[in-house]
Amino acid sequence: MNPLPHRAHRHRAERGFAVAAALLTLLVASTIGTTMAELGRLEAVLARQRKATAAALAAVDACAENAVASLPAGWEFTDVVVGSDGVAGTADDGVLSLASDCTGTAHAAPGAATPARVLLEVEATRGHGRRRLEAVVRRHAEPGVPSLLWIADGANVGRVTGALMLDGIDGAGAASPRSMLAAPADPEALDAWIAAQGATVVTTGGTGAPIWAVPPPLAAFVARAAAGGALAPGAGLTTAPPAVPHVTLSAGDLVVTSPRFGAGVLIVDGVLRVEAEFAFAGVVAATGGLRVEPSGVMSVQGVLWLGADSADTLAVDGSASVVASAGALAVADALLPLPRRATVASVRDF
Amino acid sequence: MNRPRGTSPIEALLAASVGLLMLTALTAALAGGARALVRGGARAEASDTSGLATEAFLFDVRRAGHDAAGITVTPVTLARPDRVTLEADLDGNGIVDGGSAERVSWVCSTSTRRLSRILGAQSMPVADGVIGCGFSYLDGGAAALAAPPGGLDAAGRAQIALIVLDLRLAPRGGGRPIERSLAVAVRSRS
Repeated sequence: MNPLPHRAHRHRAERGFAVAAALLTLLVASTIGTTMAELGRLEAVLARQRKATAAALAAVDACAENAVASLPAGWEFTDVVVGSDGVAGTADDGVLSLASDCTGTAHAAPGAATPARVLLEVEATRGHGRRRLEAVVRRHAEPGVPSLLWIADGANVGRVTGALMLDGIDGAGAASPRSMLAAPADPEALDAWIAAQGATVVTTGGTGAPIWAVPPPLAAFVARAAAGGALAPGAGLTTAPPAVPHVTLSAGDLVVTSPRFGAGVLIVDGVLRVEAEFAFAGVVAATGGLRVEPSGVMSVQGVLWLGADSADTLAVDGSASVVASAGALAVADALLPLPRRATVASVRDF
Repeated sequence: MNRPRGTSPIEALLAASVGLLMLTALTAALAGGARALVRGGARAEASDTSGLATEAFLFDVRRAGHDAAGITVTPVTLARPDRVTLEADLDGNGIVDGGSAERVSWVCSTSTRRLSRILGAQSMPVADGVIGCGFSYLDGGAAALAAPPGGLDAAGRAQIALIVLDLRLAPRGGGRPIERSLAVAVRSRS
């Protein structure tokens, strides 16, 4: 009897079982491994998509905020809706200042005209994500900008050879500290201007650093004051305190040659030149800038808004101070509604 | 001289023991792998669920108070620790339609272990397996507004600047819970 065929048969059977078992084990293990890898891949894809969504959401929010920040300060949004030509139905209607990765337009909001508002539709693309939103933009509750000085030309602020004191802390209220200076310029350039003035500019502790802002709408402010029946400086300013709040408008340059006191709103459609004591509570605005001569002592409780119609927006050779006062500002706002920044009131994502 | 053929009982026993040991180890390894796969899948599912829930919550809070028609929409009409109701005039028709997506409620129920989103009259479960869930509210200075069980009153709701959703989900089959917190700003109209 030859045992070889039987042994070979047995070995073949054992080899077959081992191969089958190994293959089965390999199959199960590879199934588990593949499923785990697929699970990981799916999670990675989801994570990438969430990241793209978050990036696009941040981008569209930034677009909307930048567009709103660049809208002109004012009272209504008519100029935004009809464009700079003031005529509806033309190419510049609703055109917004947007970054390169954004598109969008502004158009009139439905419903009643008040409160003033405008609708912004903005779309942003960032990486593989794209988002679109509709924002309702209104005027800010706070008048003006949160700054003591609001200047139209940030590149040509002026000079201080005398003394300028800026106090952004409102001693009477719990309002947030005001910035020392706001202008349409890089805040670092404004910081540099402050630093370049040396010891002539003194700011109290807590006063905020310079901020970027759109220019003050002084031409429209003058027009509104004139339409509202503002008093002439001779009637609106007094020679001794206390001063009664008024809206006072100087149709040209105003030169203060003897002590004057006032409250409310003072708008000078030209240069305000101070050669004597001058104290005011509220808003002082001058389209042609401010000169405080060496003999001048000017104190403002409130804010100072200056245009750029002349060489230097601000020239202080005497003494000047601006101290925050929310109360004085509220009185001024009640007399003549002050311009306000645009702000996003609400958004709707698409 | 002939060698004995076949295997001795000791050899067979030893071979069987080694085989069994290997088989046990292999089975344990495969079973461990399978368990890890199931746990990983459940955890990934819970993570995705919590991610989707927080994302939906984010968009609901972002649009709260949307008011194109200028009718003064109150963004938050109910602010309880376990429930928040948000309103918006989404179509700009000057009406907040309570039976539509213009009124959205988020409800945490730890008794049913569910986070739900209620659009008008439709309740949609957003997440199951909830073992911890709640809403908290912060004012503009990031100070907590303590919401009583009945909810903040109108004055308290008007101060809400941030709504925080804290969510803990237990993955199916156990394992470490998934925890997420999301704070979303409520647009003020100032």
